[in-house]
Amino acid sequence: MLRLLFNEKATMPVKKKKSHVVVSRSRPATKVSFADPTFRARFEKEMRHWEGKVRPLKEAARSSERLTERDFAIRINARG
Amino acid sequence: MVDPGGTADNRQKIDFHSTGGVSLLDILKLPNPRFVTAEEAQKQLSYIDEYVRRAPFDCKTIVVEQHYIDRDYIEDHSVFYSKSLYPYPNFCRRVHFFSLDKEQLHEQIHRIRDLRSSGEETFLRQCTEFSRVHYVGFAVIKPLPGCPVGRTVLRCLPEESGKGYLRKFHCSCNYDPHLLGVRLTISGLAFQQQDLGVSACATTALWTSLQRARQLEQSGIATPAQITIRASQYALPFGRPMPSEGLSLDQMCQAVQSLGYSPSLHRAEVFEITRGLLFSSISSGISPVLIMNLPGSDINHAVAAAGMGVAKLSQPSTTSEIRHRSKDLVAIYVHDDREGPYLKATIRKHQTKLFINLKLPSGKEETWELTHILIPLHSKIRLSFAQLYTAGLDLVSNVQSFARHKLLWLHQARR
Repeated sequence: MLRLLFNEKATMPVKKKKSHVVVSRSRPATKVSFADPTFRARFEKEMRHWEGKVRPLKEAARSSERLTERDFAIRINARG
Repeated sequence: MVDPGGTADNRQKIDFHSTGGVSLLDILKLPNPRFVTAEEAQKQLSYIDEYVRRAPFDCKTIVVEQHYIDRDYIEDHSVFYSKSLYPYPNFCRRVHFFSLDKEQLHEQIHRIRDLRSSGEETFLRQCTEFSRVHYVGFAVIKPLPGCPVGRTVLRCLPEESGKGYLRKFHCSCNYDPHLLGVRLTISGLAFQQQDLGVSACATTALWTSLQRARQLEQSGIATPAQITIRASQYALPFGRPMPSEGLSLDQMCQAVQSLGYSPSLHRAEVFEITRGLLFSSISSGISPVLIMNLPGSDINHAVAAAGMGVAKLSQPSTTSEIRHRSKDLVAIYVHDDREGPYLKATIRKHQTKLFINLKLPSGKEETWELTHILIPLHSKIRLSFAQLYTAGLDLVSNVQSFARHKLLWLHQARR
C-alpha cells in the first residue's frame, strides 16, 4: 500500500511556475494607437505638461542670442 | 644698454640646463623691467617653471635656443616694436622642457637623429614616441622685459584629477616644433602673456581661441598684431589701437569675422543655458572666449577655455526630468593672459547667473561674473546654439512625454 502511494506521488505531474515573461506574453497585447482618441488626448496633455517645463529654457536660449548695442559696446580691458 | 634677450652672436647656440636647484629665471637671466616690478612681470615664467616640474611632467632638463624667430613676435615687432626708440631685437629665445636627464637627453637626440638613415617613417615614429614620453612643451621668451612669455605650449594636465572628476582638454591641438633636427610633437593649446603694446586680454584670448579653430578648419594663422589691426579697422571707440587699450565686443566680433570665421556671441543670462553652451562648445573642440566682469566694477576680462572638468559619475535621465549633460560640468580650464595657462576655474550659480571662481597661481582666488561667450565658428555651421538647443529640447520632451504616457497607459490597461 505504501509503495503504491509512493509511486502515485512520484508520477504526479509537477505544476510549473510561469515566469514573468511567459505571463506577460500570454496576456492579450495592449495596443497603443494614436487613432484611439482617449490615448491621443492623454498624450497631448502629457506633451503640454512637458512643453510648459521646457518653454522657459527655450526662451532663455533664444534670448541669449538677442543682443543689443549695449552688449557690443562693452570694453574688455583687464590688466595683469 | 641692457640687452633684453640675447644677441645675434648667439645664433644657432643651444644650451642644455639641468633643473636641479636652478629655476627657469636663473637660467634665462632676464633683465629687470622698467615700470613694473620683476616679480610682477616674471610671475608667469615662475608659474610655467612650477607647472613643468610638477608630477607627472617632472621636467629635469631645459634646453634654450638662443636665437629663435617667432612668427607672432616678429609681426608684433614689425607693426609696433620696430618703431620704438628703444632698439628691441626682432628675435626671441625658445625654451624646451624635457623629463629626461641632460646626458640621457643628449643620447636620445643623437640616437633619433641617426635613425634618419633608416627611413623617414621610422625616424618620424621615433620622434613621436620620444615626444610622447619625454617632451613637456616649449615657451618662447620675447625680448620684452615687461612681458617675456610669448607663444607657449605645454602638455595638458592628466585626465585623472583624483578629486572625483575627469579633465577633458578637447580644445587642445598638436604643435610640431623642431630641435636639433628632431621633430617634437606636443598636444596642448597655445598661450601667451598679456602684452599691452600690441595686445590686451581681448586680443590674446581671441588669438588662443583661433589657434584651435585654425587647426580644426584648416585656415590661416592669425597673429596678435593682425587681430588688433583687424579689430580696429572700422571702429575705434577707445581711441588708438596701439598701445592696446582693450577692445570692445563689437571690435572682437569684427576681428573674428575678418579672419574668416563667424562670431557667435551669446549673453550669459541664465545659468543652465550658459553652462550648456560652455559644455557644448568645449566638447565640440571649439575654444570659447569667456567675457567676464569683476562684480561691482567696470573691469571686464577675456579668457579662452582650453578644457573642462566633468563629474565621473553621471546621473542617468529619468522619465520625470530632462537632464542636460552639462550638469556634469564641474570646472573649466582657462588660459588667463594675466596669470598663466590651464588655470582651473570652478563654476557656481549665483541667483540666475554663472560665476567663475579662478584659482590663481599665487593661491588667491578671484570671482568673476560671466557676461558673454564669444565662439569663433566656421561660417558653414548654419544652425545657432539656440536653434540646436531648442530643437533638442523639443525632441527630448516629445520622447519623454510619449515614454511616460505609454508607461502610464499600459499600467492602467493591465490593472
